[in-house]
Amino acid sequence: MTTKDQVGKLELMVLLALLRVGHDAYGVPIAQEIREIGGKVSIGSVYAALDRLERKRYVSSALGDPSPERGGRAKKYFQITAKGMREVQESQRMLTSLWRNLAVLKGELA
Amino acid sequence: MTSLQSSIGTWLLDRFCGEPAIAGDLLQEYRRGRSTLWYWREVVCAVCAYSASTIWEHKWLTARAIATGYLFSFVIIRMVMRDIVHPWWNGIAPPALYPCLAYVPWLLNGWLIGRLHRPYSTAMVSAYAVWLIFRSIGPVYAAAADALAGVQGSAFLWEFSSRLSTVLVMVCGGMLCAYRDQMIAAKRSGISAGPIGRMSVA
Repeated sequence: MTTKDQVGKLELMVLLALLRVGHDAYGVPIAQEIREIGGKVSIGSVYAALDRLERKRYVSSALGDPSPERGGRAKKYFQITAKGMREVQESQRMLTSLWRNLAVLKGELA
Repeated sequence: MTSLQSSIGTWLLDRFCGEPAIAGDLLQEYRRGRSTLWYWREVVCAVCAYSASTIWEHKWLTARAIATGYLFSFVIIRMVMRDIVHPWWNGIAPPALYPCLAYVPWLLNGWLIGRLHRPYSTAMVSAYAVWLIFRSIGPVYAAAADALAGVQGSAFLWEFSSRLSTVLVMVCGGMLCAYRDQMIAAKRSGISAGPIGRMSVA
């Protein structure tokens, strides 16, 4: 994995939110999912992260039908790819290893 | 929120973000009960997030855009306009009309930056606008200090308004370039774009 392929904090949050939402995942429910766990994120920044993830081929997208409620704009549905799934698992493995037995986080040094 | 406001928001999102789904999501949420303030905050956040993301990913292109803008302003605005056109203009037309002419090169500057940095034209124009604002802090601060000290109070207003209008005109040039590109792209893909931000499948 090159440095360019690495995911940032927001990108990882978006990937995880995408997995939690499952089918019919587009900008609004993904942003809502992140907000529900206390993250402060705008719909625009979620799309900017999804755009970067799509270019890294961690997610794929498909357009839905346009509706009058959306001013004639179609929804853009996102789905995690196999490469994206591997990246999430790798990030989990790395972060868990770094967190494990960290005395500072357990309050032992406080 | 009036339809004009939503059209302006949609137009800005289309120019700066290039992702039609964002405008749809924001309109959908607004029509489901979100406030006008929420809508505009999301529009500003989306524009900033997309521009910042593009600038961060294309640092060298950003440096080139700023260098292009600086070179153009140095050669055309500082040398040609100030030293050649301005004295010539004062000889043939009322000097009060010169400011109108002086904004034309700034419009062209924005257009040129946009044209040379496609497909990231709006982000690159934004980067140069931020750089212009950053460069203006010193002179505006000095003029404000003079105004507070009671020396040349009107100089601050002139300094502030002329620099702000310069940035706005330059950004307009860049946005016109992006708008033109999107019109061409829409024509090629069989989608016709309305006057402001309304896109419909032909």
